[in-house]
Amino acid sequence: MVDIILDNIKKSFGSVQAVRGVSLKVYDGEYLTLLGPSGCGKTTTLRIIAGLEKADSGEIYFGDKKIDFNVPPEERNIGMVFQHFEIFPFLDVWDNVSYSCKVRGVNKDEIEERVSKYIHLVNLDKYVDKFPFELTAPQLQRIGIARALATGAKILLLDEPLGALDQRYRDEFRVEMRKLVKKLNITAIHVTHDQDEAMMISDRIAVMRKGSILQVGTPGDLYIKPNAIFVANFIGESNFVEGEVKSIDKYTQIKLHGGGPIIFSKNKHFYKRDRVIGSIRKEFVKIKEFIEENKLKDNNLIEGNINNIAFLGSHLRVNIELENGDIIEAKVTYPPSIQFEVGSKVYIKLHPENVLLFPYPEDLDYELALE
Amino acid sequence: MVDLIRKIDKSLSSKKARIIGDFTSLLIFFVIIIIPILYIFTYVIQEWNDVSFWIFNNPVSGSTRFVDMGTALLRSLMISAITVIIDILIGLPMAIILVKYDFKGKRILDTLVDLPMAVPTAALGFSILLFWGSSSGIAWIFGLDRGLISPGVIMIILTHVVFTYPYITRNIKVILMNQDETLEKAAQSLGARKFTVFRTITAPLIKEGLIAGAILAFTRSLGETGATLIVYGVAETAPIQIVTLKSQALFGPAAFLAMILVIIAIILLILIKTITRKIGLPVYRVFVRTEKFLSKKVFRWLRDGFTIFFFGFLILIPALYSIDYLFLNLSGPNGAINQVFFQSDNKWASLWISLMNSLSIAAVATLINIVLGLAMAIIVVRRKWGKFNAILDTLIDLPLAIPSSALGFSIFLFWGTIGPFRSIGGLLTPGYLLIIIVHIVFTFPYMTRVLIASLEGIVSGYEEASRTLGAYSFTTFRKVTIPLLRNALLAGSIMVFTRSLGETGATFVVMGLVRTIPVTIVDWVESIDLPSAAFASFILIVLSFVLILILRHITTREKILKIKT
Repeated sequence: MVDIILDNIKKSFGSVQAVRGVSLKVYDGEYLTLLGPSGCGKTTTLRIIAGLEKADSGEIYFGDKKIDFNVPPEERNIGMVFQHFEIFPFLDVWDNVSYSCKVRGVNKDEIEERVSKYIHLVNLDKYVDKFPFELTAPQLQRIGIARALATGAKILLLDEPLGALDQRYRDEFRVEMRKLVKKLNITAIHVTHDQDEAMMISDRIAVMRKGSILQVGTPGDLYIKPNAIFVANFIGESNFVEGEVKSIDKYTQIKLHGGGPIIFSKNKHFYKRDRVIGSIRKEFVKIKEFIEENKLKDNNLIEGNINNIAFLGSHLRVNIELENGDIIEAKVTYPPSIQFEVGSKVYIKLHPENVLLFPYPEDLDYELALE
Repeated sequence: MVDLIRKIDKSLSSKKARIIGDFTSLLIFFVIIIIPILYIFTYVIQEWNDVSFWIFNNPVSGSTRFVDMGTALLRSLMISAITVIIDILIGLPMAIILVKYDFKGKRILDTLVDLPMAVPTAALGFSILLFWGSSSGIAWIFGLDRGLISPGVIMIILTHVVFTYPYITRNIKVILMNQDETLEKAAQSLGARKFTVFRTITAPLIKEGLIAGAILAFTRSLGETGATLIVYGVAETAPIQIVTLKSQALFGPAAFLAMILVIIAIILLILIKTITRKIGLPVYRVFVRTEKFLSKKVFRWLRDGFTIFFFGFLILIPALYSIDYLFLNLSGPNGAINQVFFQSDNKWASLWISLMNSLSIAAVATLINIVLGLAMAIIVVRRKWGKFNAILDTLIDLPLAIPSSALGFSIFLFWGTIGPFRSIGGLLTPGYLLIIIVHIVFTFPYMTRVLIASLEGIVSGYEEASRTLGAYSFTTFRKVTIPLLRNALLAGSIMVFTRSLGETGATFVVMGLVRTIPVTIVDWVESIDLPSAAFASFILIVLSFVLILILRHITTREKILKIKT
């Protein structure tokens, strides 16, 4: 059992509160990602788990065992992968990977066996006697992973492990890393600011902001049921509109601000006259032809003008200006089912289950900021 | 066995072990290095009556000694100032030539520029005396029957330029090499001519390094004893006067003069740390016509030509002339071979003994400084003690700034029969042990500086990685930090070894009856046995040069350790 439990962890650097009471349970064998913009405290949290940083208060458990903050990293039995690799430049690949075994006094035969196993796992068999300066960045990170795994630890901590790699290597790495972790049945905590990476690699994601966890859930949960404007904005891409609740019957009806149109939402946690923010994922915005009879058949159609179209290969990004001046962006798979161009009048359709409502926040700019 | 090592590492990694280690290092640092070189202050105050009796109110000499001191001090300051100006005139363009130009033989020129540094000061003074002052050097070229310049102020300046200009050239070279050229290109694209670019863009960027280098050159010149001892003639400089006073057993006046030199050195050191950053460069106004005129190729050629000519003529040839002299005077009844090996006074034996002394002293100083330097570098870089760290950082340079004879004298007083240990008759008398202590003190900054710079450059990530992999902090230190510092340790060791090998001034004060090789050279020059002195110089130069070549090799290889990410 190596569940990892964090209970109300707090940490300040001088006057800056980096971590403000983080509680989290990571299950045995789970791949969990701490996702958030830079400065949100995710790396500090990871370093506290690793023992590289001492928390000011709170508790950490590995399984049933409470880990005192004074237990140094070398006694925590973890594997860690670093953003800038930190591959020892004066040791060759073999010596880098065998380092943990050697400093722990593992016997020779076992070192031989373990190290070749992990070097093989990351496909570096050909490079065992190369030195770091002879290798490329992706190869260096492979050593980093093998080196961390060769500790035999059941907990793997990854601090932006793909941050220093080119985009094209990242996708490949994500898949590979998840497979590896699952195959070895270890518990992994991965820190990143890249939401695609988090979605692709994780069993669950904890979204962090300003030192706190906002939401923990599977990638699907976070996508479909974000519990905060920030989460809706950070995971995937959403349109945000401002309005007031007009009536509540089968659906909640929201009158958009500035004399805008009415939209419908399935969300019923609000009262009449509440000011709300509606959030609609860009890929859920449907564009319909501007024909009178469409409007007669379906009262959930909103009129708008296309003022920009961008072609991105697999899809189009279409900006539609509503009558109140709000701009809604739609991601339309290519080729689109109907014809339109800049200047066209169109209807857009927003399904009520795709319109999420949040109470109007005290500081909207803050909620919508991505940092 | 592995278990045992792991146990030892674990106990050495404990907090207690760290505190004990830090405390011991600091104790040694203060007791061996800092307090003895500042002891001179206490001494002067304690012995004030004696000091003032000899300097100000002596019944026989009145205050003439004070006047003499003033003269020597003023002479020293003047010599240092002129030296620094010449240093800048030669050293700055040389750095530019070495960094900005690409030409055949650049590597050779680069080595030649470092070459005079391999010549220990005593050998250097001797070489310059031969070149300028004897009938065989420059006089021979012009067909004169005696030297062009006799020992005195001018010859002192010519000597000081040789060992101080590297402070300018090396400092500026490093800055220029690390500098982003895009700024200069940007200025050019904005229409600035070459000279204007240099004045308005390059100069402000190298300003700090230039000022720091100039101050270091100034302090070095102010305190130099070994070479000056050979070329001063009758123009006593302040450090020479310390040696003279000490040899007359006038400890009070010697201490007083040493104290003044220490004060000047400390002020200069503080200046480096504080104001170099704040000094502005005058006028951003551009004198378009003049500067356009000065940007002409002709002026660059003139500048380069003069720089290389003066470098060769004022620095390189005089510094190495003793080698030429040696080969001219190798055989024959008065030749070096006969003088050294086949005379009844057995010079070869004293040469051998002094060589062994020099080598063993340098080796011990190096070993001790490796340990102490590592400990201090870690304290300065890694411990977070705020202000105290900054103070330590400044104190580390103290021995570097203090004139070597003043430093030697202060240490001599501290450990000797008239220091704080006088009640037990003093701990150390002049001789082998005291020479070792003095050498540890003045070479300490060379080792520690290199280690600090290197340690600051090491990303702590490597160490963190090691600890997450299960290594105790002491194991990490052994297996990760030390290998990362390997080149710095080697470079520092060679610097310390070479400096120790060539040191004369401080050794003179504390040597007693023990002789090192530079002292032997001075002895032989004084007994006018020039071929033998040239022979000893040659051995010393070759030793130092080989060490410096190794040093260059190491420092250029260092890049390999940097991984591209």
